[in-house]
Amino acid sequence: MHWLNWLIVAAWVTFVSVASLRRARGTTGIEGYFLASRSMPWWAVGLSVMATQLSAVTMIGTTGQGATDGLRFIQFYFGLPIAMVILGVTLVPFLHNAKVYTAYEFLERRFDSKTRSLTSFLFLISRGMSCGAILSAPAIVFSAIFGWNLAACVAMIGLPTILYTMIGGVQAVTWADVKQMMIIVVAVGAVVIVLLLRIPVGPEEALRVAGAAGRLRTFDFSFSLTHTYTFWSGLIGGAFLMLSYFGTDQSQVQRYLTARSVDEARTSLLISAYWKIPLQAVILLLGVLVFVFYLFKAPPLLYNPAHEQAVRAARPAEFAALEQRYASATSAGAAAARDVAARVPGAVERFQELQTTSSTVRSEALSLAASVTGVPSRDVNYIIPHFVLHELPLGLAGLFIAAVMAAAMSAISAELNSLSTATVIDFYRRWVRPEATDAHFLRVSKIATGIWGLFACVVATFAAGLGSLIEVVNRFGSFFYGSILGVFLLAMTRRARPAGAFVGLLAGMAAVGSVSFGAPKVSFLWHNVIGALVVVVVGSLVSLLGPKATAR
Amino acid sequence: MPSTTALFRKTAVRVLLVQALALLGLWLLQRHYTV
Repeated sequence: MHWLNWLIVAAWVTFVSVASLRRARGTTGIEGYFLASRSMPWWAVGLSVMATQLSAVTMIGTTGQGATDGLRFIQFYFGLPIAMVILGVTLVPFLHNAKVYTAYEFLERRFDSKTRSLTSFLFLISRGMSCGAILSAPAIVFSAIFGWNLAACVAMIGLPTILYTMIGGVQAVTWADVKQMMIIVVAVGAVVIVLLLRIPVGPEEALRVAGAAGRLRTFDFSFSLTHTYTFWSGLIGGAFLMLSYFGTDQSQVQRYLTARSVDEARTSLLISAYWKIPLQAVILLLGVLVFVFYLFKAPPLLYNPAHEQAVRAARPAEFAALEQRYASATSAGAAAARDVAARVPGAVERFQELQTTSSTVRSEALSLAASVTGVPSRDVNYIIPHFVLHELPLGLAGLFIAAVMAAAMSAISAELNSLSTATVIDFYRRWVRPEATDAHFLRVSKIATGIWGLFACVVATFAAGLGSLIEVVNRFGSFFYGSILGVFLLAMTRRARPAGAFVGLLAGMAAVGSVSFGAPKVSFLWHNVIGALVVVVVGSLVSLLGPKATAR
Repeated sequence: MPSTTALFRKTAVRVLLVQALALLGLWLLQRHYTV
C-alpha cells in the first residue's frame, strides 16, 4: 500500500485515540469510568451501540458475502427493529432505573447472588474469547495482504484500542465510537460511489446484471428451522437474538446505561432500529457492486494472496490449468454480462451458465488451496481487501483500511470496557474487596481492562491454532444467550423466585445443548428462542410449585 | 400531556412503519431485477 494511505490510517488512529482521551479527562471514580456518570447524550450512545455491533468482520466478511451470495444475509436483521422497540418499553427502563453497573447486578437484586455470578461468569468466558476472535479476523486478513507477522497486525489494532479504553474508560470508548461510525459511513459511501463510476455500465444495467446472477434475491419466505437466512428465522429467531444481545449482554447494556435518562437510553436504541437495516443493505450492496465490477474486469482465481502463492508454488501445473479455465469462463462471462445489460434476448441464460462454470472452477481452486495450506480457505474475506488495494484511488484505500480498523477498534473497546466492568463489579467488588475505596476500584478497573486486552491479543495471535476452540466457545455461548434472556424475562414477572430463575437457567441451557447436539442442523437463531422459552416455562413452574414467593 | 412511554410508543410505531417500507423496497428490488 502507498505510504500516503498508511499516513491516513496512522493519522486516523492517532486522532481518535487522542481526541477520545481528551474527552475523558477528569474521570475520578468508577461511576465516571464505567457509566460516564450517566451523562451521555442519546445520539452519542446510539452511535456507540451501532459501532459496537459493527466489527471488522462486517466491513470485510459481510461485504464479501454480498459479492458471493447477494443481499439475502440482510434477513438476519429483520427482527432487530422489533427487538429494539420491545426493549425500549421493557428492559431498558428496568435496568436504567435500577441504577446498576451491570445487567447481572440487577439479577442479584431481583433473585440471588448465584444467578448473578453465573450469568456474569458466562458473559466473561464467551465475550473474552469472542473479543479475541473479533481482533483476529482483521489481523489475519492484514497479515495475508500485507505479508506481515500476525502478532504485529494484532498489535497494530489492539494496542491503541487497549490504551484509550484503559485510560479513558467508557467516555473515551463512546466518543471514539462516534468518530469511528462517521468514518465507516463515509468510507462505505465513497467506495459505493467509486464503484458506480468505475463499472462500465450504468447503475440500472449493473442492477440488472446483479439480478440475473441472483445477487439481489433478498427474501426467502420458506419456513425452515435449518436455514439461518430466511424471512422467518430472521424475524423470529433474529428478534430473540437481538433481544438477548441488546437486552442482556453487558457490552451493549453498558452503552445505554451511560445515557442521561431512561428516555435518552431508549431513544439511543431507536437509532439502530432506524438505521441498521439500511446500513447493512448498503454494505451488502457494496459487495454486490464489487461482484459486478469483477464481471467486467478479469478477477483473480484466489483473492487471498498468501494462499495463491502457496498453491502456485506447490501445485503449479494444476493451478495454471484452473487459471486458464477460469480466464476463458470469465472473459465469456464479461461479454454475456454486457449483453444482459443491453437486454439482448437469450443473454441471461448464457450468462447464468457461464456463472455456474466460473463458480465450479473457483470451488475447485478453493479446495486445492485448502488441501495445500491445510486450513479451510476463507477467500470470501479477501475479495473486498483485494478490490480496495488494487482498484481504489490513492487516499481512498487508506480511508477504507482506516474504516476497517475503526470497526475493529470500536467493537473491541466496548467489549474490553464491559469485561472490566463485569470483572470488577460482579466479582472483585462483590466477593473480594467490598469495602475498598473508589480510587482503589478505579485502579483495579484500569488494570482489568489492560489484562482483558492482553488476553484478547493472545487469543487473536493464536486464533488460527485455536480455531476449533473458538468455535466450541461460540457454540457454548449460543447455549446460554437465549437462556439469560429468559432469566431477565422472568425477572420482570412478579411470581418468579430465585430458585425458579436458577433452575430455569440451567434447564434452558440444557435444552439448547440437547438441541444443538441432538439436532445439529437446527439453525443457531432458533437456539435463542428455545432457551428463552424453556427458562420462562421451567422457571415459572418451579416458582409456582415452590414455597410462596416473598417480594424482594 | 402524554407520558414519555406513550411518546416512545408513538415513535416506535413510526420506526416499525419505516422499516416495513424499507423491506417493501427491497422486495420490489428483488421482484424487478431477479430473473
